[in-house]
Amino acid sequence: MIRLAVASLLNRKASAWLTILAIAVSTLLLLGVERVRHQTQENFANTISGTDLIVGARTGNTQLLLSSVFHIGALSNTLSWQSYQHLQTLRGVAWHIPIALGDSFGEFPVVATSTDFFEHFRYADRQALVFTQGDKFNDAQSAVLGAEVAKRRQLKLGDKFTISHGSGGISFSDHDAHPFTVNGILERTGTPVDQAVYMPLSGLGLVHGESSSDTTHEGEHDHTHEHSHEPPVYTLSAVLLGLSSRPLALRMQRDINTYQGEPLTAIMPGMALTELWRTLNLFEKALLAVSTLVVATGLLGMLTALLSSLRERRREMAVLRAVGAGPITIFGLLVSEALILAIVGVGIGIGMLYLIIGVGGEALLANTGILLRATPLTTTEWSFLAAIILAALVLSFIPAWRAYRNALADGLTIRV
Amino acid sequence: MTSTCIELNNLEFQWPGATRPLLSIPQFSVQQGERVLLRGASGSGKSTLLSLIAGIHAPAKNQLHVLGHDMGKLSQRQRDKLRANEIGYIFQQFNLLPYLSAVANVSLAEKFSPARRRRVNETSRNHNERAKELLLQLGLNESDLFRPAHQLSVGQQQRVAAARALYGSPALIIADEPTSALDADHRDNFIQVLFNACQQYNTTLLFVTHDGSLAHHFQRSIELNEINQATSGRL
Repeated sequence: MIRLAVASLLNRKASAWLTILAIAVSTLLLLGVERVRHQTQENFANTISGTDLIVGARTGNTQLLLSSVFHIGALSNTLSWQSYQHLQTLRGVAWHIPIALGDSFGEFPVVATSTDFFEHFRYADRQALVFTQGDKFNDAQSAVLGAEVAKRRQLKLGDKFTISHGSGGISFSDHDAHPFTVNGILERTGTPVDQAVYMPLSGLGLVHGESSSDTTHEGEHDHTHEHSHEPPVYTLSAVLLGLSSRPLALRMQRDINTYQGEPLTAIMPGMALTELWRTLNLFEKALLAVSTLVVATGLLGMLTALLSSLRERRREMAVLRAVGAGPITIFGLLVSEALILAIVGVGIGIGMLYLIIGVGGEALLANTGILLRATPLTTTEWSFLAAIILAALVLSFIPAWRAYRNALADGLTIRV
Repeated sequence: MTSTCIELNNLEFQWPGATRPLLSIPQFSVQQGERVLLRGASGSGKSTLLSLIAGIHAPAKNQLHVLGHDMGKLSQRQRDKLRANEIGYIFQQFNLLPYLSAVANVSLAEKFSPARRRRVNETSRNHNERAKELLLQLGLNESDLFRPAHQLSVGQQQRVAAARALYGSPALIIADEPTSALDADHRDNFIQVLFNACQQYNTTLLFVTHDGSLAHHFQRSIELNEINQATSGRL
């Protein structure tokens, strides 16, 4: 019966292929949306690891997370150097990374930080940053590039570049007077680190004229000078904290949030991410609903094709009846045709998904920053596919029932 | 095995909703191995009678026996099975699935019939070979065997249909005006090869036509109007 169904479908190649194509494209869309949703979450979750608290001026949790780690959006408030110094003195703080944002190099954000960033920052599964070339910045005029920045701007070690004030695009206040030298290039991480330029806080102080002197004592995390001299910058955007023991985070968060010196916000990255997903939930649902409707359209196309084919296939049905096929067989024939169309369509849809990830993954990453990986289908994706095929099965009962009724009514009379 | 192939006893049949019976046949029978011509004008109830004998529609009990089975007692499924196993059917035209080859169309007969498959197994080692053999016997050219059916001429298509009806040696072949789409030469030739094949396999042939000029080919020729009182009463 399957072979008969295949032969019959091949006889109607054009309409069969169009139906398959419609199902394939709608499958592709559904899988694509699900994959973008799932892997974006994964990528976001991979961006930061091992950091127990992120501290910034009083602001929204999501905003602090997005701007400090993902370089999305801007922080309007800053925290003072004094607060940073206070944070360092808290019991249980194992390491601390100061972050000052606000400048950019072309479309790439500039992150002013200390060399502790390269020591302590972890991403994905507690992986440390690795240099492909060079090393950390060693004076106020040197910088480290993320992999993508180096690649897109074709910068090598020793090359000089200037940054500008403000985030991205054209700026009217370029810091042309203070060029930076590339001192190191980081290995690709698949996180926003790739898209950023790192420079010492003293460098930022220099270009903004905050720093009193531009000569000797800058840069290195020489803890003694912080107390004795002027700070490299007066304000920071955020501070990443690592704790000696994780359970401390909750209490410390409360302590920081109630700090008397100035209003501060401390967030736990994991919880802030969860909160962010909850906000985005509505969009995800909308996207999923749209792609589900597209799948429904594809399946309805199949239903139309099968129903309209029935009229011209009455002869075929009569022949099958004459050689002894019962009405149930006719019913089964239509159902198997629908299943073949759906399964082939879904299969091609899966193929197209991997083809697009394989061929267009790079372009997608470069243009949209969405990283899609050709990982095997997840359980959710499999259940979507199963649902498509199940829906096709149920829908096929309609033409199958019609054919069954026709077969009973027509018998051996051939109506052409 | 009974020697009576088809037996009608006071067959009365009317379509649901009709006021008068279309068929009312007191007595009619066909013996096993007989070749019978059944003649009737269109609208005389020919097609209905054939669909009853072929088991598409069910008569009342004890009115129609085919190969010893009371067609009124069999279920739809049993009748389909009887047709698959024991009845070859040839239509006026459009007998074939246009997208299958001649050989595939012939072996379609065993798709729904374990009995035919078994009988082919007994006589022939290879099923495709058996189908080819029948097609060649019925006068198809070697080169046409694997062409898709829609590329064959009408005459060739009817031969393929006859080969399919004969495939797996069913007891009865019902031919519903199989020659009406053929010209005179092809018609006589077709009837001749069909006869030879039926004789060889001792197959009963019920040949239905409105064309009286074919009567001389047959051992027995019957006018439906003469046995069907429903029609004769009306006329």
